[in-house]
Amino acid sequence: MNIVLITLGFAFALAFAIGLILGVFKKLFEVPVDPRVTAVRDALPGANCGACGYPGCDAYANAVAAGQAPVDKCAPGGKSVAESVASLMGVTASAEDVVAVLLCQGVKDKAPQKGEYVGVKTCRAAKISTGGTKLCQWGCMGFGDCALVCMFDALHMGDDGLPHVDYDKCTGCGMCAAECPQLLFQMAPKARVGSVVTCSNRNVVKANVMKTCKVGCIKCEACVRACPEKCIAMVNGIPVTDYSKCTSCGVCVEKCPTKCYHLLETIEGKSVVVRKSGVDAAPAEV
Amino acid sequence: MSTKTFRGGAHPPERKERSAELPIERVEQVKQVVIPVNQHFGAPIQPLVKVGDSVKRGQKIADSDGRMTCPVHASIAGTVKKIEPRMQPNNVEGLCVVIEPDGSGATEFMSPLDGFACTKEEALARIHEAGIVGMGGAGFPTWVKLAPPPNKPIDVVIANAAECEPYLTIDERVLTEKPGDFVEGMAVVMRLLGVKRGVIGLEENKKHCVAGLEKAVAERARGAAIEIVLLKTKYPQGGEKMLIVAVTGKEVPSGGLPMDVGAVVQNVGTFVAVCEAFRDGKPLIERGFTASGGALESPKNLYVPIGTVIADLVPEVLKVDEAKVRKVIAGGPMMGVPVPNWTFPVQKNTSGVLFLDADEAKAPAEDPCIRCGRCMRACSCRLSPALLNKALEAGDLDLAREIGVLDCIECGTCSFVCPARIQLVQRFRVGKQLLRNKIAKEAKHAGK
Repeated sequence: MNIVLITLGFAFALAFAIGLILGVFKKLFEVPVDPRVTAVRDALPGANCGACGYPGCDAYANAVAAGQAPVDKCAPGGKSVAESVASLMGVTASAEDVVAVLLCQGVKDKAPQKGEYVGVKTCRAAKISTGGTKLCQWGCMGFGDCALVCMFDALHMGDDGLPHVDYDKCTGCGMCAAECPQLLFQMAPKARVGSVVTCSNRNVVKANVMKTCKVGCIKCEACVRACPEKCIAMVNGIPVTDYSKCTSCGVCVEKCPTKCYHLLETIEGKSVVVRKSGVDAAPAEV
Repeated sequence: MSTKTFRGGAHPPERKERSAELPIERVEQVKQVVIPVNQHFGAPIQPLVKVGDSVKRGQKIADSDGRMTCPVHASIAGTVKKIEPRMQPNNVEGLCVVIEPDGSGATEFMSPLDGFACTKEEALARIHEAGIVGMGGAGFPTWVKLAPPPNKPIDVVIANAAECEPYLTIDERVLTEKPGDFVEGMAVVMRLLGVKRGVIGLEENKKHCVAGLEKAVAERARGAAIEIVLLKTKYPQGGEKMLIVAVTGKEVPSGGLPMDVGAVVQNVGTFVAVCEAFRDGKPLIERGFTASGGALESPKNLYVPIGTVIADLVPEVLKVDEAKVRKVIAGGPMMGVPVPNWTFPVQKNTSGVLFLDADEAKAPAEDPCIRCGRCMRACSCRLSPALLNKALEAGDLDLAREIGVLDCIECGTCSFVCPARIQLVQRFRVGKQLLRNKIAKEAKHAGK
């Protein structure tokens, strides 16, 4: 019995002594941490995706607290995170929630290949060696570089040869847009409402577009003429909608002979991008 | 004469015997020409003509006053039918001027200029105005190469007559048929640069051209000291940096240009174009190229107006066995560009068009690296392709940069010798692009 008491007494005495030493040294060598760093870090999603341009959430939090980075760089966090970080830093944020929209609808059977491609099976390698594996040099080549870099499991290659965005999961980090050698992803604000052309073919000759893709924009400009709000203009060979005027009337969607137009909408407060005339990137029949 | 060379390299099957003996055939009547506006390496330029304009042969149809640009001229007399994007030999669509002949044959050349009497400025302006670019493949504007900054003295002009790409024989034919023009063009360039030493680098398999060249040097060089150096027949002997090492023994520093070691290298065709630009005032509107490959019934060396569409030459001039064609390549088989079909025009830097059959075009599947080190022995830049590949596979761009990925000249020797058939060079091209993007991004950040 005695031995137990002695052991316990010794252990407690030792614990007390070590605790005392640790306490003293903590006070002596304390490194002051900006409480804002911890607060900002806690407000961030913690995905460490790198979309902000910093190696991870910790690095970004440090940069924000030091005043070296803007408060609205966290794309996955979107508006809510930007606002909470902004309030912590005492500034105002102007971030918007965005999602990736693929600006190509050239599925396998609509947009043929140039020939048999035998090189390295990544989009970037194919682009360098062939200028694009499809007859349409602007189109999605479908090797899935974008799906590989997506940290949020929001991009998957479909059987139709195009990547499909899962809008429940897409955080708008923009990694796919940065990776795509064809620059086919547009980061569209979730709140955006209006029409969008999901084609990037910039060949201005109708016959050449038709040869390369059955669902490409043929520059007929029917949309430009039909739009009641006059909010569509051809920019660099592709019709572009002015969202400050677009009313989502859908006239352009109806008029487009190759079904290039889709409507972006926000439904049931979930801020989901949907396409009226086709499911996701898959186009309607032509 | 002893043969000189560089370290590394490989010897792919030459297959030059198919067309080496065939004289250059001139094609004069074409039903249209499709002239790409941007045929040079550098800043883009804009067309000067409109649809419906009638143009004379030799008339300038596109230009810009920017640096690193080079004008383009009409190669036939006729009417501009269209100005629209068309497929170019580099496999992407680019703005092209389509001209249909009107049969007049009206010609508008510059007035002849004596390259041995004019001033340096006049000579340089002439080479610029004639729209001459490097005709070996890269299409680098020649006048930019011939105007080095004053702190880089040039002491040797090297004629790249190695023609190390398999199949291609056009340079060999030019050396056989027009050695005088070639030597004269070279002498003009040497005078322009104020260089005393000229070297013709010739691969050993073209030894038979030496006698003709020596005679031409005696007759046409106007006293310029031009020597002929025989080089070992090995790919990529015609790479600029390999040629300089073989001829002068000096190595172009990493990230440097030939002018850093006092050398200017030009292709055979470029010198002939220079000679014609001075003697006849003729801009670069025609060029020779080799058409070869297993799916072509009779290989040919052709001389055509620039912009001639290959499809227009089929089947009268080129008899293509369409069932046999598996791959069409614009340029040589090692560094050329595979193209989807043959409806592309010949442009200033198209040195060959190959119609390969299934046997020639076979691309075996990749296997894992067996660490044999053959790529390291073969690399003409003395890099370690296997290690580079590993670094790039791991996404370690900094390591790739450290071990020299930016020094890769993309000659493809490593991919050729690899027993596991790993497509090394394509991966290096990707790595180089990513690394350049990264460097540009960092520079932007640093600037901010």
